[in-house]
Amino acid sequence: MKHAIILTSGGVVLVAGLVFGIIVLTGYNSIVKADEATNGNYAQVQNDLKARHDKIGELLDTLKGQISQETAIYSAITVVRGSYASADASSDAEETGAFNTLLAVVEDNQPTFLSQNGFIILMDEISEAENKLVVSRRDYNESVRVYNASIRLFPTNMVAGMFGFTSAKLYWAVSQSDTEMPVISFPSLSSSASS
Amino acid sequence: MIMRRGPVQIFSVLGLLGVGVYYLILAFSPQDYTLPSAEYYVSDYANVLSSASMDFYLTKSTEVFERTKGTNVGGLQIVVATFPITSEDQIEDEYNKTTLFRKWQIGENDMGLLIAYFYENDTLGIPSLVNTSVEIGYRLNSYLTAGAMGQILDQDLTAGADEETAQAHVYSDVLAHVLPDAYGIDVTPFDEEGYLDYLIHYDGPAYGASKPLSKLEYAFSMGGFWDQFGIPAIILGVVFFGDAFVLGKGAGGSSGGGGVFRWKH
Repeated sequence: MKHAIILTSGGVVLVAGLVFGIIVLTGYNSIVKADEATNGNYAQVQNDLKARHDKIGELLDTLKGQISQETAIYSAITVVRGSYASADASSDAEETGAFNTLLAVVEDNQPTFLSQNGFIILMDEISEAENKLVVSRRDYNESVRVYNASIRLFPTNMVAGMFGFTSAKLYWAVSQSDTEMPVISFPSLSSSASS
Repeated sequence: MIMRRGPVQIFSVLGLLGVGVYYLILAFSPQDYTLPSAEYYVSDYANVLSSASMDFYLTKSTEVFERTKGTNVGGLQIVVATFPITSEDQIEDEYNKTTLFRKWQIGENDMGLLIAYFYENDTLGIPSLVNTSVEIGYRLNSYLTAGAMGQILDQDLTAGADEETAQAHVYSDVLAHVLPDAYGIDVTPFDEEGYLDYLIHYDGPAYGASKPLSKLEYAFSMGGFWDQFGIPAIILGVVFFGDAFVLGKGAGGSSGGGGVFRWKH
């Protein structure tokens, strides 16, 4: 009889130990996974912020270069158009000369201006960069929610306490600078052309 | 004479009961268009594509993935889907392109692309294209930028003899943009005349409107589940779920909101 009690107690202790071990093991793994997910998603947000800054900067520089070039073409056309308008219409040589100059300026510069496409590409890239940031911030906040829940919910909160996962992580807050629209300026065509 | 039922008989009855319940659930579960169809590479939920176009996407995408999978870059998967909508809000809320992409797990090593066309019925009840949204996988984004994809849409969607041809043009130009750069595979440019000819003379398999997989089919379809549990799970799936053994998930790709969209107003 005594033997049976000892055996039963031993069995109960063994099963309880096994259950406890499984809880600790799975709990620890799930907390570590959640912790790593928050770290990974945080890095992704930083990555997207950096990519937005670099990519938009590069595109803006390219676009500004195109605009400056096109502004110069506009100026040249304006000047030549002026001389064409003031040319003596009765003088064939003067009229033809002015016309040829105007034609040369237009033909040489291929009036299919690149900046129009450039603006559309810039808009697509800005839109994508913003969308990526929205997604990565959402992913980060979701992983923070999972992590914070795992260190507060039973039974993983016990495991969290045992292994030092005690402090809750902060959600990604939108700062004042994030809500401000970035200022993007281009050289004015009209002012440059008229000068 | 009393017949005693052995464990084999009990398991057989339980198994049959399980299969019956499974098909009953399948029959009565509502269609969820956020899940792919059994064709996977093309899901025509708006019922606007011809069988020829569906076969074109299916054949091309299968071929492209077969040629590119296992490479250092990762296998390219391109999925085309059409969705019927009644409100434009559904595009962002119900059919968010990033959520769809992740659910469908498009592309190996995040080399995936989802081209989604949204159709709304006009006053005559005819489906009319209102929005084209493209989601680009994380890794594919370095070979196909939003700017480049936007240019392809702007050039191709407004050109072409009809909408189907224009959409096939978009698909082909994506291949022409990505395959040489990422895999060194040369691509012949899209031949509009040839495609129109193909549409007219198509005599391949006929496809009706696509049906999304049920949640159960999706859960047991190829992808994560089979990868995790291997051959025993495949045997279990074939025995108990029959037609559920389909390609319902891609090669595990993910995306983070990369891509573009265009409204047609």
